[in-house]
Amino acid sequence: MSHKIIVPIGPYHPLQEEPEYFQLYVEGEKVVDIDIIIGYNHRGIEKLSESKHFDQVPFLVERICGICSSSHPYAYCLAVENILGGEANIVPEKALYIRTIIDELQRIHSHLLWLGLAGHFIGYNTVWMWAWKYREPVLDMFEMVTGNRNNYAMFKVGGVRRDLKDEDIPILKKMLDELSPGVDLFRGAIMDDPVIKMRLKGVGVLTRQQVVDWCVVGPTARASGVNMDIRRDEPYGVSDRLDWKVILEKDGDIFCKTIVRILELYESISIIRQSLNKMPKDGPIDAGVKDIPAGEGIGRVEAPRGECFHYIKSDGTNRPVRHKIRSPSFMNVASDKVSAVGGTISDATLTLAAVDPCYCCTERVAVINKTDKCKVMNGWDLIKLSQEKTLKLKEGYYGRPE
Amino acid sequence: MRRPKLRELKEALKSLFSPAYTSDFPRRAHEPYERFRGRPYFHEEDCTGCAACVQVCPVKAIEFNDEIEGGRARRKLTVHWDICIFCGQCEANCLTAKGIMLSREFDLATTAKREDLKQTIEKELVLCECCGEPVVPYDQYVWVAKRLGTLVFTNASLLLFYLRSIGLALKEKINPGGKAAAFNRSTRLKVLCPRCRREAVIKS
Repeated sequence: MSHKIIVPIGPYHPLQEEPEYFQLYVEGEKVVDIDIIIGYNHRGIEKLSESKHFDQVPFLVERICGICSSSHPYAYCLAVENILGGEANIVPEKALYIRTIIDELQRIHSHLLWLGLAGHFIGYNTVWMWAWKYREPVLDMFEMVTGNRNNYAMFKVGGVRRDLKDEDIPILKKMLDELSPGVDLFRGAIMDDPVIKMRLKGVGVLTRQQVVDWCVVGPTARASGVNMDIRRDEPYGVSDRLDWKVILEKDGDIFCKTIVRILELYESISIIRQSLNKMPKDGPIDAGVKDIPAGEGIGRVEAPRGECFHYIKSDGTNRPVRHKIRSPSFMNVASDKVSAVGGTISDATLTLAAVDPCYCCTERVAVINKTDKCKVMNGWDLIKLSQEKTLKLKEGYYGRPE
Repeated sequence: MRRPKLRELKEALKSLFSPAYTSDFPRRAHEPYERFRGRPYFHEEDCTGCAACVQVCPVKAIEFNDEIEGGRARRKLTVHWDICIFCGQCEANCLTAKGIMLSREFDLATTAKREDLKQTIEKELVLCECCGEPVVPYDQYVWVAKRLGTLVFTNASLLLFYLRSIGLALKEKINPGGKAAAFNRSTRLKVLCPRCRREAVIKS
C-alpha cells in the first residue's frame, strides 16, 4: 500500500470566520482520534487594540465574532469599568437596562441560529428554515434599536451610545409575544419527535468530569450538569435584579445541549420582558468617562457560547497597553477531542457543531483511515453522512416509504 | 405521536397559505428603519471643516489634506466608503452635529472603482496674516465667533475677523509668504498662527 499524502486546500473559508481544521482518524466508521488545528484566523486583534483609543476599541472587538457581537464589547467595557471602580458604580441606571436587553436579544438570535444549523445537520431542513424565520424579527429589532442587524455599536465605556426610545418598547414587546409561540413549537417538535431523540440521545456525550477537566464553558457545560453562569456568578448589567434561572441538564449529550439552548430562549425572553418593564423612563445613558487611570481590569460576560473574558491593562494614557481576549469557542472546541472520539463519522459532524462554533469549523475535514487508504471529505460530505443516518433512523421508525 | 405532528402540520399549513416570508427585494426596495446606520455624507453648508471626524474615526476612513496655492488655502475632507464601518462616531462627534451624517443608504454594491467610492468637500482656510500658514477653516472660525455670542468682544482679533466676515469692517490684504512686517502692538489684532502669536506677544 503506497503512502498517501493529503493536500487539503486549506481550512480557509473566504466568507465565514473561525476557520478550524479537524483531522478525524477512523477505523471503519468509528472515530478513534481527532486532531484539532486552530489558529488560522489570527487577525492580530489584541495588538490592533493597543493602537486604538479606549473609545474606539469596542468597534474593533465587536468584529471578533459576528454572532456574539455584543458580548465582546460588553466584556471589554466591563474590563475598563473594572479599572474605574466597577460597572454598577459608574454606568447610569438606564444604560444598565439597555445593556442587558441588547445582550439577551443577541442570545436569542444566536441560539435560534444554532438551532437552525443543527436542524440542517441532521437533515431537518424545515427546522432550519423555521428557526431562521423566527430569528429574522429579532434582527429587525436590532436594526430598529441599534441601527444595524449586526455589529451594534451600542457599547461604550461608561454607558451606551444610543437610547432605547419609549416608542420602541411596545414594538419590542410585540416581537417577544410573537416569538414565544415559535419557541413553543421548537420545544415541542424537538422534545416529542422520536427520530430526533434517537438521533441525538447518547451522541457526543461529555460527562461532568470531562467538562471540568477540559474547562468547557457555557451551555455546553450546563448540559452536563455543571452549574455555571456568569450572569449569576458575577452579575453584570441588571441580571441580579431580575427573576430568572440557570438551565441545567444532566446527560451531556447533544439532545441535552439542544434542550438547554431552547429553554434558555425562554429565560432570555423573560429577562427582556422584565427589563423593559422595570427600565426607568428617562435618565442619562452615558456617564461621560474622560480619563482611564492606570491599572488592570477584567471583564467576564456570559456570551451565547459561554464565558467571554477580556483583560485590559492601562497606563493612564488614552490607549490600552495590553488587551487579552479569551473567547468561549476556544475552550469548547477542544472538548471535541473527548466527545467525538468513540462515535461514528456521521455523528462527528453533529458533535463538532454541538458546541456552537461557527459553521466553517466543519468546512474541511480530512478523514485518515488508519488501516488502508486516505480520503479527504469536505463539510458537505459530512453533513450528507449525518443526514443519511437520520433518514435511516426515520425509516426504521416509520417504515420505509413505498 | 399524532399530536405533535398535528402541531407542526398547523405551522406548515400556516406557512403554506401566508405570503412568502422573504421580501421581494430587487423589485421592491427595502425600507430600512429610521435609525439605520448607512453611508455617511458630508453636508457642505453645515460642515465647518474642523476635522473632528478624522480624529475619532476608528478605521481612519476620513482624511483631510490642506493645500495652499496662490495665496488661497483649501482643506480637502474625504470620506472613503470602502473603508467605512458605519459606526456613527463621526456623526456623534461632529461640531455642528450636521456636518457629516449617516444616511439610510445600505445598498453599497457598485461597479465603480474602489478609488471612486468617496466624497470630497473643500473648505476655505484662514491664513496667518504674518507668515501665510493655514490657521483654521474659515467656517469654523465664524462658527466659534457666533457660538461665543457677546463673549466674542473679549477677543479682539476674533471680533475683528467676525466683523470683517459679515462686512462691518474693512478687509485687510493679507501678506502670504512674504517677510512679516516688524511685530508691533497692532500685529496682535491680526489672525495669527500659534507660532506668530507667541512671537507677536513676546516682541511687541
